[in-house]
Amino acid sequence: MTDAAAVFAIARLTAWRFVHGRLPWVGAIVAALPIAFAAALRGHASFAERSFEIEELLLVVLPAIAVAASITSELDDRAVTYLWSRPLARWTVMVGKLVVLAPFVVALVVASWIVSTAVGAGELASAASIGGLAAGALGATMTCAGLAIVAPRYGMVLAIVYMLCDGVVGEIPAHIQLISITHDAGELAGVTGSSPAIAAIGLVIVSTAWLAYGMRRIGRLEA
Amino acid sequence: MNTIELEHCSKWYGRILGLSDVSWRVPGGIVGLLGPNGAGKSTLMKMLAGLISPSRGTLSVFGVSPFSDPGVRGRIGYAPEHDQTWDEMTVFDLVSRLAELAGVPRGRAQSSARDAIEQVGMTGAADRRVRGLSKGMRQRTKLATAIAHDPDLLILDEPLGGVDPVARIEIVARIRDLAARGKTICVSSHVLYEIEALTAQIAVIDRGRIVAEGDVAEIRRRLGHRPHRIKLACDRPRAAAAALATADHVARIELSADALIVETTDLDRCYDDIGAAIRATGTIVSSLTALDSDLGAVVDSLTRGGGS
Amino acid sequence: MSEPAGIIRDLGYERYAGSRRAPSKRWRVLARQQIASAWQPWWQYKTAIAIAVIVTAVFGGLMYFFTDSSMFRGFRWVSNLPMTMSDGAVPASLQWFRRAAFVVSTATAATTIAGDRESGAFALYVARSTRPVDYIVGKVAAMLVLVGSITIIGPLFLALLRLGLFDDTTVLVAHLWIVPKVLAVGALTTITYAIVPLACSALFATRAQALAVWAAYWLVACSIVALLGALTSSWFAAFDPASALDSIIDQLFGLHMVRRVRFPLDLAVGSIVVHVTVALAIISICVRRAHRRGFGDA
Repeated sequence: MTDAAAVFAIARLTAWRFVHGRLPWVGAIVAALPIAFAAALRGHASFAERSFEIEELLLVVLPAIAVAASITSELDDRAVTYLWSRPLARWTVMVGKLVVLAPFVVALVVASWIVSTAVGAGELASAASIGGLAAGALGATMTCAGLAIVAPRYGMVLAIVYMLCDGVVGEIPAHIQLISITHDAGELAGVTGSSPAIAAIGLVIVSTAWLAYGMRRIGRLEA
Repeated sequence: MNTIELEHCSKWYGRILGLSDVSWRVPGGIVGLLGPNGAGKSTLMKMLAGLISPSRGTLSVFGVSPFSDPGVRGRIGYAPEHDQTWDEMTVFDLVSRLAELAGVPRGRAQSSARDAIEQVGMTGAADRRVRGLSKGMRQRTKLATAIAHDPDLLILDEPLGGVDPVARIEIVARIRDLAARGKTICVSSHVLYEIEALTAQIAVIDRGRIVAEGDVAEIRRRLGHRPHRIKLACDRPRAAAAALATADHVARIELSADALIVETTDLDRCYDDIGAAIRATGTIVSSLTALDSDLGAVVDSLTRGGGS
Repeated sequence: MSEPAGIIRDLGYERYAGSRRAPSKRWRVLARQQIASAWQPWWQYKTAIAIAVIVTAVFGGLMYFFTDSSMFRGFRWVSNLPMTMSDGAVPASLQWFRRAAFVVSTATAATTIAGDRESGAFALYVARSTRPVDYIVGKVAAMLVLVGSITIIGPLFLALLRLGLFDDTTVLVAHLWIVPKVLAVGALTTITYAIVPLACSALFATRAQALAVWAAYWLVACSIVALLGALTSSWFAAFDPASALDSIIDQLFGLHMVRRVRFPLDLAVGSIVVHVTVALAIISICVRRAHRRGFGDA
C-alpha cells in the first residue's frame, strides 16, 4: 500500500466518522458565536477594531476541538490498534486526518469572519483579512495536530492551553511574538504590525515544526 | 523459514518488565499462548502485530520487523483483546474499511468484508452498529476484521474471552477452518480449556518468560520429576490404596468413597503397580484417568514452579 | 416436606463484621481518589502548580527587588495615582493565578464526570452504596481542594510577603486587610473554576464533548460577553465570571484598570453566585439522571 493510498484511505475513514459525528454541529455553533457578537454590535464604532480579536478566539478553540480530539481519541480509547496494525506508516494516519479536518477548520473560521463582517459592518471582509485568518487557522490546525501527540490523553487540553499561551506571547512587544500563530495571523491580515512576509515565515516555521515533531513522535508511540 | 522468530526479546514499560529475554520460533499451524493475567501474552502479541517494538533483541515476522516495516503488516491479521473500536459504524462498514486500510482495493474490500462476516457467522448482524453488539458478537466482529484481508498470520488476543458456550464453539470452529487453510494462528488465553479445544501446540508464558513450549504431552513428559496424579474410580478404593501404599514411587494417596487419586513420581511403574493391585484385590474399575495430561496441570506446575 | 436436593448450605463466606465507614463520610473516599488521580499525570495538577509557582516567584521577586518602583502601565489607584510594585503586585498576580486555575479546570474538572461515565467508572460508583449526593460532594470537594490550592496559597504567600516588606509595624497592621481580601477573591475564584467546569463535565457522556463545550463557553462565549460589556460600558459584562472577578478585585483593592468594565460589587458577586448555583443544579440533575438510568449510558 503506497503512502498516498494510505492517506486517502484514512481521509475517507475520517470523513465518514466526521459526517456521522457531532463535530460539524459543535464546530458550527462555536463559529456562530462571533456572528452573534457582530449582530449585537451592529454598526458600533469599535466593531471594526475588536471583531478580529473575537475571530482569533476561534483559532484557540476550533483546531483543538476538531483536530487534537480526533487525533488523540483513538490513542486514548485504544482503537488505534486497528490502524497501527495495518500496513501503513503511522504518519499517514495524522496526515489523512488533517486532509479532512484542516479544510473544515479553515472553512469555518473564514465563513465565520465573512458573515461577521457582513453582519457587523455591512461590508465584505478584505482579502488580506480572509487570507490571514485562513493561514492562521491552517497553522493552528497543524500545530494542534503535532501538540496532541505530546500527551495523547491530554492532547486537547494541551492544545487549548498552548493556544492560550500563544495569545499571551503574541502580545509581548518583541520579536518573540513572531512565534505566536495568532499574532502572525493578525499581521498577515493587516490588523497588527506591518511585516506580513516575516509573519508568514514565522507561521510556517512554527506550524511545520510542530507537525513534523508530531509525525516523528507518532512513529515511536506504543499502543 | 519460520513465520515468527524472536531472539532474546525483552520489553520494559518504564521499570516494569513486560517480556524477559524471550527466544521463540513458530513455523506454522495453530499455537496457543498460555499464561496467567499479566504474564506478558498481550505484550508479545502486540509486538507480533507491530504495535510495539522490543526494548532489546530482535523480532521478525515473515523475516522482517513488523514494527519498522509496515508492508509486512498486510500479511498479519490482529484482533486485540479490548473491545474499543469505532462503535458508531456498522459491522460491515467497520470490516470493509479496515480491509481497505489493510491494502485491499476499495472495490474488493466490500466483497472481502462480506466473506469475512459470513465466515464468522455475522451476516445477519452486518448492518447493526457495533455499539449495540453483545460480547460474543463483538468477538466475532474482531475476528472478521482480522481475516477480511486474507492474512497469512493471525494474532488473536483472547478471542474467546467472555463469550458464551455456543459462540465459543463457533469461533473455535472458525479458527480451525482458517488453520486448515494454511494460516498460521497465534491465539492467547488464560483459560486453559479454550486453548485445549484449539491446539496441542502451546507456549506457556509467565512473568515475561516463555517457560515451556511444544506439544502438551511432551511438555508434561519432560516434567518427569514432578508428581503425576492418576485417578482410579473403582468399587473398592480402600483395598486398592492399601496395595499401592507400599510402593516407593507413590508420594500420596487421596481416598474418596468411589475413587482414589495416586500421586506418583514414576508414571510407568505406577501404571504397572495399579494393574497388579487391581488383579490382586479383585477390584472392578470404572475409569482410569491421568489428571495431569490437561493443560491446567501443565500450566499450573510450570507457572508455580518456575519451569525447567 | 423433604428438603430440595442440591441446596447450597455453606459457601464459606462470612459477612464482614468490623467497623464500616459511615455513609455520610463516603464522599471523602471519592474526593481523595479524585485528588490522587489528578496528581499522577504531568499534564493535570502538576502543570498548574508549576505555573502557580512561577507566578508566585515572579511577582514575589518584583515586590522584593522593585519595592518602590512604579507598577506596570495600566495599573492605577482609583485616585489615578501611580501604584508601586509592592502595592500592585498582589492584585496584578491574581489574574495569572486564575490562568493556572484554568489549567486545572480544563484538564481535570471539565472532564471528570464525563470521564467517569465514558470509562464506566460511574457505574462502579453507583453499583455500590454510594449515593449521588456522595458522588457530587466528593467531586466538588476534590475540585475545590485542587483549584483552591492554586488560587489561595500563592496569593496568600504574596500578601504575607507584602506585609513583611513593611518596615513599620503600625503600617503593617493598617494593611492587614490585604489578607482577608486575598482570601475572599481566592474563595470566589475557587468556587467558580471548580464548579462551573464540573457542570460542563456532567452535561456530556464523553470527555471530548465536555471539554469542547467548556472551552467554547469559557474562552469564546464568555469573552464575547465581556467584550460586549466593555464596548457598551454596561453591566452586561457581569455575565462573564472572569470579568466579574476582575471587577471584584478592582473594587476590593481600590484599583482603576484601563479597558476593564467596573460594575457594582454586589452585581459581580451575584454573577458568581448565580453561575455556581446554576452549575450545582446542573451537576445534581445530570448525576441523578445518570444514576437513575443505570449503567453504560456513555
